[in-house]
Amino acid sequence: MAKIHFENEAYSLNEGDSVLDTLLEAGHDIPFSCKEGACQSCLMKLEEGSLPPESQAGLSEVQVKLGYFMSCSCKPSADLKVAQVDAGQLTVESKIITIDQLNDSILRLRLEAVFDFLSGQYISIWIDDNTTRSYSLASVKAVDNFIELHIKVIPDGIFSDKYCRRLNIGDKLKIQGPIGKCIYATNNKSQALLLAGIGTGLAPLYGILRDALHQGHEGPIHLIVGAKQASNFYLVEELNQIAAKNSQVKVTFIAQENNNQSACETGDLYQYVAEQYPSTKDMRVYLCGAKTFIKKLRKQCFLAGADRDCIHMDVFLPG
Amino acid sequence: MSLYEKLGGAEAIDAAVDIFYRKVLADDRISHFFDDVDMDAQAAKQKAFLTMAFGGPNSYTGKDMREAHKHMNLNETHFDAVVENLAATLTELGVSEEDIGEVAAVAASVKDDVLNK
Repeated sequence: MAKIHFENEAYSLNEGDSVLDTLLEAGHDIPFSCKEGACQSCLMKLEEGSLPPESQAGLSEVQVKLGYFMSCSCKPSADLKVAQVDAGQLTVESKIITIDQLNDSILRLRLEAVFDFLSGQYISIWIDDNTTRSYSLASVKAVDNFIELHIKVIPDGIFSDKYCRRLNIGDKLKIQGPIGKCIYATNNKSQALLLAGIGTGLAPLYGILRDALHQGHEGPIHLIVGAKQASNFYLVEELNQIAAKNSQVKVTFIAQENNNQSACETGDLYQYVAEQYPSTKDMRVYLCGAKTFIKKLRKQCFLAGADRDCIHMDVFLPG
Repeated sequence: MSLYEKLGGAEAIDAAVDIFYRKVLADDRISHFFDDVDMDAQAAKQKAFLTMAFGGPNSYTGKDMREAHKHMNLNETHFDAVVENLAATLTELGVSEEDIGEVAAVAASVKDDVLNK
């Protein structure tokens, strides 16, 4: 059985357990959030041993060279000696520029662009020494020069409600990133793009759409935003304007329930996509939102012909 | 030259995996086995399987095959479905009948392991 050496102690790794599980169980305070290899808040540093490759998936070249790894995704078969990474080394401070309300339940936070990023990537915000929350980037660095986040306020949510509501313009947030590969990346400017998301899955898609246009994408771009009710939609005016100005862009809002209050489609998003795109061959697809949504639509788009590496995903994981 | 080399090595296998996986998911005889599996993990397994079937460098063993399929209650129909989808994938990629026959023979050689016989 492999052992984890940490702070002069050795802990046996139970079958199927990660380094993070093992150290948490032993009573150590290791920061973590998603436990699915996405948020990178559980990064640790290797001192001795060799790491399973999946524990470094998605890390930057520099991070890999430094021996950083995600402790949640690290299930080694041989002994490892590991150390904690000081959060200060992972994060930078960024000042809040604006806070406003996009609809009843969604806040828009704009922060100073303290690093380079690509629209559709995400950052983790450190709320305290052990807690982070991840949000996708809705802005375009070259156009906006700020970081824009769309935050769904969940009643009593640690970050979105309790913490966010107390924030003021000028406050500094500790942020880590940018992370992720769900970005506008094609050599073929005439490729058809399908962007589909639910809820604040719109945030990365809004960024990717505007980035694609900024980079001169000429092929058709269809943004499909889904929600339970028509009143959940946001940035409707802005998106309709983008579609009006760019003939290759089509924006569709589709709600499961529509109380006759807005000009959106009513129905099932999956069915709508299937009807509009019986074939997704040669298309590039972007899917953003909850895991179940992405899993279902990814399979549907793959079966309809899209290549696996042409389906980009930004999966929202519960914090 | 192995079929693996003839087809173009690892890169060609990636393309073949997408075609093969799509056919498997669309096949009512076997698609339900894949409802809850992670697509990326499954694609990686299929890549290993195809690499073996095409005679490429692989570390596939009968024991892996047996272990992976043991609890699935598979029968001849399921096995045949996979082989048919594999053959159809190769046809789509322009592989000759003769080479397809060779791949089918490799697949047949792991049948007992897959069906846990």
